[in-house]
Formats: sequence, structure tokens, C-alpha cells
Amino acid sequence: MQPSRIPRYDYVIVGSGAGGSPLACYLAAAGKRVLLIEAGRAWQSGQYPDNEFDASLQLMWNGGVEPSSDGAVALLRGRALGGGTVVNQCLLDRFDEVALQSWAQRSGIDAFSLAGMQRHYDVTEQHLSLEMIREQDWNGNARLYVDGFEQLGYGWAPLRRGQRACDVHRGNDCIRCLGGCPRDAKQSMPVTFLPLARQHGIEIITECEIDGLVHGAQGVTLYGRHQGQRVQYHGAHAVLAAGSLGSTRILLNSGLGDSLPALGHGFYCHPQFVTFGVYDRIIDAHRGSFQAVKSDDPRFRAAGFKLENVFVGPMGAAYLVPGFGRQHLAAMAEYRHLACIEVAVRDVTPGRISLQKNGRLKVDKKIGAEERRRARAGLKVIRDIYRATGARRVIESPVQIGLHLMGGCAQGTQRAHSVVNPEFAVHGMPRLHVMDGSLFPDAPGINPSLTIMALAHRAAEALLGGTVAPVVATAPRIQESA
Amino acid sequence: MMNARQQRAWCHVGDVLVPGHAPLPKYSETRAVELIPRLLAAGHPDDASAISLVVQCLRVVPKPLLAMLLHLVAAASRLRGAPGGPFRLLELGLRGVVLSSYYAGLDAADGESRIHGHLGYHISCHTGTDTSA
Repeated sequence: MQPSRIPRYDYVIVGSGAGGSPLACYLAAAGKRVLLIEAGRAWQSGQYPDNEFDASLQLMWNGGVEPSSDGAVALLRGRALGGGTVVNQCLLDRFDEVALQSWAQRSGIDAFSLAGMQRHYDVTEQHLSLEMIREQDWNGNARLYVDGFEQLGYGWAPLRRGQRACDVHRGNDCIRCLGGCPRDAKQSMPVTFLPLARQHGIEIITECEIDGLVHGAQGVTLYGRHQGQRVQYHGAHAVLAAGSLGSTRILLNSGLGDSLPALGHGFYCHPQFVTFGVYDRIIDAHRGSFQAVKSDDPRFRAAGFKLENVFVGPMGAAYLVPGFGRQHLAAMAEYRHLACIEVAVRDVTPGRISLQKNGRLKVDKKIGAEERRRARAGLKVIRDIYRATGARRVIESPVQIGLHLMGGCAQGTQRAHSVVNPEFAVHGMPRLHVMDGSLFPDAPGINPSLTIMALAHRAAEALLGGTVAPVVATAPRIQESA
Repeated sequence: MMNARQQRAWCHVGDVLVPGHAPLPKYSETRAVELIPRLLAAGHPDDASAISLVVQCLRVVPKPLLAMLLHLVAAASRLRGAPGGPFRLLELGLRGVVLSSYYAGLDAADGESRIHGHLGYHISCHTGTDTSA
């Protein structure tokens, strides 16, 4: 390919999730020429797979699950235009003082504070519809969860969710949106920031996987594969927003491991310890609204865990229920009688992302003694809840799940302990930026999506050198008749 | 695509993991094995080759012995850290593939999954313009 024929963009952004899409939107609205590259494919809302099997295969990396190197944690990450926001539950809490103080200490960035982040959260939330599920719309799993919490005197609260008119009273089952929301109700990137970004002129290339990059004085060249063909793209700046594993892989694959000593270190994932309670009565945890409530108890926060009121489809449940044979089948036959609560641990033992000799990604992530202690404390509360609400049996899954993939390119002031500087540029590479969950200096213990979006706003201000206002939709163009 | 021999090998392992328990059918009585090539193709090619080789080897192990072996693997997979690692990965490969294909809900040509029917798993989601139940 002739270098002169490579289109040159102001910004080439790799990854279209909660970091890449908002940033693309802000930059495009400021008049920059932006190319957004996504490894997964673009979906219309009506085309998302209607079954768990195809959703796993087509919307997730590695067909659904990527195990850590010793198989201790099963990691899940989205692969579609919109990234993880297509397959997550869109739980959009702001970080609290505990999380931000810890970040400030680790990173040396004073702006990580409630006051420092407020404007970024405020602007972000103006692009989203945030709702709480009404009590009359709770499903059996949520009712049981709240009943247990109230009997035992623990604090709970409604979850703040990114959604608009899920209409569960019309019989909609929101478990479906784990495989992409067919109603455009979930506030994923294809529903929120991406349409705005398109209106402001971004170009999007999907099914394109970036393998590496070269940083130069005039810009950054990225190379990869688009539908089997080798391609390269050039931007005055490049932004890696491919998630904790994706962005770290690109930097490692570009030979930057030696010059960036912290690259790949500090990986966290909020390991989740899943349990099922088996009841005589039908719970139907898979029906209706999904994940309406959360634990909201300062004792849990201090102890380093939270309890999540989730559920999964039959494929996921079968994987999580231990064992095999007739005993396993008997447990699965009671699917409608299962309730589910999981402990999500705020992990403190950092993992490490590296490349194997064959170039394959390797994630070392241990469940350390402290994580096990935190999990045990949460599991005890769960067993008490199940007992108080009449469960006849408790099933604890031996599989730990990691849904919130964070760290690997930590942001901070010191090169020895971080990869990205406070202005969102990789240390020593002023034209290369990172904007996704890989920036996290540690595990916050809170769902990360909203904060990734808020950091994208902060990054836009750093890149554009000024205050960035919410992006508004442009007026619809009047169609001219032929 | 899998050949008949490979399909028989997966069904052999599948019937130990999912031997049937009325009204749920055993693995080989469903069309689940037909999903396995797609499942393997979605993962890393090295993993697909490794697990396919293991399954071919397990094909000649009598089912009662295979059940014992799998119980040992399950027990060993609970060992913390590196010692349990290979067993956890083997469990993921075998249980993950067999159970995912069995519980996928794609076991019937007409779209009405027998397995999901027995579990009582039915979900619906109406799009904005669709008012049907």
C-alpha cells in the first residue's frame, strides 16, 4: 500500500465500547475527522441473536469465555459495535469517595475525587436515559432478595440502570438483552453515543482487528486485518479503547513492553462467586425485569464485596451448576425454582496480562487469600438470605466469573507504576492515547461502565484542550425529492 | 464440520456428562453434537485441536471408567492455583462444550426446544412496533 494513499485522520480510535464511542462523539462534534475501528460486527437492534448460544458465539470474544491462565477465572468481554455495552446490564452507578480516593492515591491524580469527576458524570448522564425499576415490576428473584435483606437487616437499594421504556408489564423478559437489546431500550453505545457520533461525521469500520501500531513524530500508524485483508490506518493521533485485554494486547504486540514497565500489570476483574438457592415454589428468575435491586450496605462496602441479584439462561446456568450426570440434570430440571445471588468481590490481588511466545494473550489472575476471605464473608450472608427465605438447598458454583475487565494500562503520574499519563497519552508517546477500562489504577468495587464514559469526557477535554459540552443531535435534514 | 467418528466421540463423552434423567433426554438423543463445530470454531484454534484430541482419546474409555475419570478431574480442578489449572481448563473444555451445546435450545428443527420446554424456559421481548403476545 502506498503511504500517500492511506487516509489520514485526526483521530483513529480502536474500540467502540464505553470509552471509544463517547470519545469519538465528543471529538467529531468538535470538528475532528475521526475513524472508529471495531473488531466485532455492527448489528441492527432487530438482528441480535435470539438465543443464548448464538449470542455467546457472535457477540463475545473467544465464543463466550476466556479462561485465565490457570482457569481460576472465566473472563467475558463483548465483541460487537458498541463493545461490552451491547452485552452488559447497563448498571450505571457513579463511583463513591472510597473508590476515587484509592485511585487518587495510586495514580497521583488529584482529579480523581467526587468534585473532580462530578462534571464528567453530569455531562455523560445528559446523553443517557437512567431509570430504576418500579417495585411492581420486580421479578421473583428481586422480591426474594429484598425479602432476605429486610429480614436480616441489610441495606439494599434500587439499581440505577441505563434504559428507556423496557415495558416489562407487556411481558418483556429483559434477560434477552444480555445478547443485545432488540428494543433499543438498553442505553448501549449503538443507541446513545454512536448515533450522535455518526451525525457529526465519524467513519466506522467494523470486523477489523488491530494487531499493532507504530508511533511517530507526525502521527500513529495502526496495522491489522479487516475481513481477512491486511490493512493500515494513519491518524495524527490514535486512541486505544479496546478494553483492558484488547488495548494491552495491542501495546504489547507493538513491542512496547520494555519501554513501559507497568504495561500489562494491575489487572482486576471483580471476580464473581455465583450461588443458586433452590426453592419449592417457582421463582422464574429469568422472567420480567432483570437485576432491579442491589446491596447498599456500608458493612459490605467496608468488607470489600457487594451482592448482585442476577440470573442466567440455561446454558450459563448449566456451566455454573457444579458436577455432571443425573445429579446435574436434576438440578437443571429445577431451573424455574432457582434464585441467584452472587458475591462480586473488590479484588486487591493484581493480575497480569502478557503475550505467549506464539503471540496469544495470557492473563494471570489469581484469586488470592484476601479475595477468598471477602468471598466467604459474602457467601455467608447469601446462605443466611436463602435460609431466611425458605430455600431448601444452596448451590455454590466453583466457577468464578470476571465481567469487569480493568487495568493493564493504568493511568498515573509515574512511568514506573503507570502506562498512561494524566493527559491520557501513553508515557513518552504524545500522539498515542488510551481510553477504556484498562486505565483503572485498581478495582473500584463498583460497575465500571458509567465511569469509563465519564473518563471519556475527561479525555476529550484533555485532547481538545478545553471544556466539552454535551453533544446534541443535529437537526434532521429535510429530504429533497428527486 | 465433524466426521461421524468425531461425532460419536463427542456423543460418548456427552452421554457420560448428560446421561438423561426423565424427562430430559441423554446427550446423543438430541442434535446438540451438531452445534459443536460452531462452538469450537469460535474459540482459539489451538484449544479446538487440543480438546478434539482429548475427546478422540476418551472415545475408547468405557463409560463407567470415563465417569470416574471425570469425577477425578472435577475434584482436581478444585485445587487452588497452578496445580488445579490443567484440570479446570479440561473441565471447561469438556463440560463447557457439551453443556453449552445441550442447553443451547437449538435441539429441534422447528425451533421449539424440547430441553428448554422441559426446563420451562420461555422468554419473549416485544419490539416497539410489535404488539403481539
